[in-house]
Amino acid sequence: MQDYTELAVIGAGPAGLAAAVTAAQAGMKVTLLEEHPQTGGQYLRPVLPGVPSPFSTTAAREGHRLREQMRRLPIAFQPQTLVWNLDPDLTLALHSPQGSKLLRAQTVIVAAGAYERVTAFPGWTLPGVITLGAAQTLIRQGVLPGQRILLTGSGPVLLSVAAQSVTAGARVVAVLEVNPWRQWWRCLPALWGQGERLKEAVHYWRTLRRARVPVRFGWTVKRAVGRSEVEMAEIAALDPSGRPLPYPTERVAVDTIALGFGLVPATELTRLAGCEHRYCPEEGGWVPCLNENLETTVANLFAAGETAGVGGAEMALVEGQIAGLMAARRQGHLTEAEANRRWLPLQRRRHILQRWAQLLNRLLRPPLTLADLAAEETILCRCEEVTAGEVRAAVEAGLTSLDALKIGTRVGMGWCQGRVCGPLIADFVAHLSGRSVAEVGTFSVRPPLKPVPLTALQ
Amino acid sequence: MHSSDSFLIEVNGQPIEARPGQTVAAALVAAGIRAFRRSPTGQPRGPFCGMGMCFECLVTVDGQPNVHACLTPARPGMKIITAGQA
Repeated sequence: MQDYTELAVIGAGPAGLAAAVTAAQAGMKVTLLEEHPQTGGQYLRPVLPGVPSPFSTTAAREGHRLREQMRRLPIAFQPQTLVWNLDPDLTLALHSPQGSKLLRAQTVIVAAGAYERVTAFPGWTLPGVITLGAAQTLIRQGVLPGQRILLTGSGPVLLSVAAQSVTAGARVVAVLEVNPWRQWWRCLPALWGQGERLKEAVHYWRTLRRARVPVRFGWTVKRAVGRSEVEMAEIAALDPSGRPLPYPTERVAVDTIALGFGLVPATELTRLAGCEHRYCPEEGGWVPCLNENLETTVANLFAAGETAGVGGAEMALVEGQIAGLMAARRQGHLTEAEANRRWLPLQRRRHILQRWAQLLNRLLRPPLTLADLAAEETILCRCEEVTAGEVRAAVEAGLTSLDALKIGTRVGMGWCQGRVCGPLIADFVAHLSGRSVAEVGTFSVRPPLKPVPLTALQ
Repeated sequence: MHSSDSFLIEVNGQPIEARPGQTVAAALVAAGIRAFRRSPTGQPRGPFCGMGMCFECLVTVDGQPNVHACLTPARPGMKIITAGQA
């Protein structure tokens, strides 16, 4: 069965919502596809009654407003729908509990969001070791991830989730930011004109101070210890070059370790469609090459939000509007003049937000030296259980690209298709071989992007 | 966090409480269950990413294997089987 739509928006987070609403208001026939049961993505994920509300930002309020608006517009919202293929001719393969079908679109906006960058240390596969995003998601559902939580990673999300954990009533044992203080200080000038971000940061900082949560800069988790779940963490300072010091190692009793080292754009769909990509650490890693209208190198295929480069919720909202406007213009729903008139202020705002985001991404990216945390027997690819030692041996045998390693060691071949281990192993190989992360490359993507029943492939 | 609109789901034959709006993963973690599956070599694994990307939270829901606990809303009477509680 093949359906038809004028615009398919993939992902109903802030960018996708903004894109769908903007395009539908201009008169487009919009289909909004979302893998989760509800709109909002991770940022606007609903908070259950009785759970303390997260810090209220303008972007969050705007996002919730868009959600309301969406209901009043003729947008075909398809929840629990996986897009497992995207052809360059803009045919999408969908799978949902209702079954599988093809969707032919005249224009497509990919707003698939981002994944968390993680790092591998001994014990990181134990139950109880989770991402910051997972911790936040549990808290929003009224569930504490654990009773004694240790948070580690880098960037603003670390402080935010730490503060949310405290507010939710969890005992936060410590917060370990791998970057030194000075990196954070260097972000300050970019906060000029970002009053709300500053207020948000102060709010989180105060919450942690009041709860007497130790926040250590230039520290990391070295090892998670436990039999069937995490019971203890070994933590250590990093030397000035970012290598974890072998001493002094402290041990802390914990039942949960939450980790996150910034975000990596989710680009499987744009890569599958054949768009050109570039490696841009300031934007979180590999991103599709885009023009000022956020159109990729494949005609009528746009990208917005974190998929287009990590920049936060406000930037996602702005980019969603830009992509929505440009898609509507492309299909003749807006005149050139009208589209340009509305595009200009959005583009200005986007450039301001982008500068700030790029500085943050550059200053707070975890050092490649964190790869040293993995011991020989530490698993790098969780699905196929490939160890650091096996990857190291393969690199020494000359396999220095992710695709070569995939064939040689099975990394990235399991359930998650390398979403978790791809960026991690790229850093590991770059650190080991001296090649740049860009040279190490990415895993090639193939449909289906996630496992679907065999019947879906017919 | 108890609330009046909570309901029961069954995990490995035992009833646990869930709230409307919670995923299966959240209900299990709230009940203290954190190992959801076993890796190919038999290591316990539990929810990691919480957003459908890592496949570590796969459980059997009403007879259907390999369901993402983190993407599946909890519903009254659901029967969940985990492989982590051997």
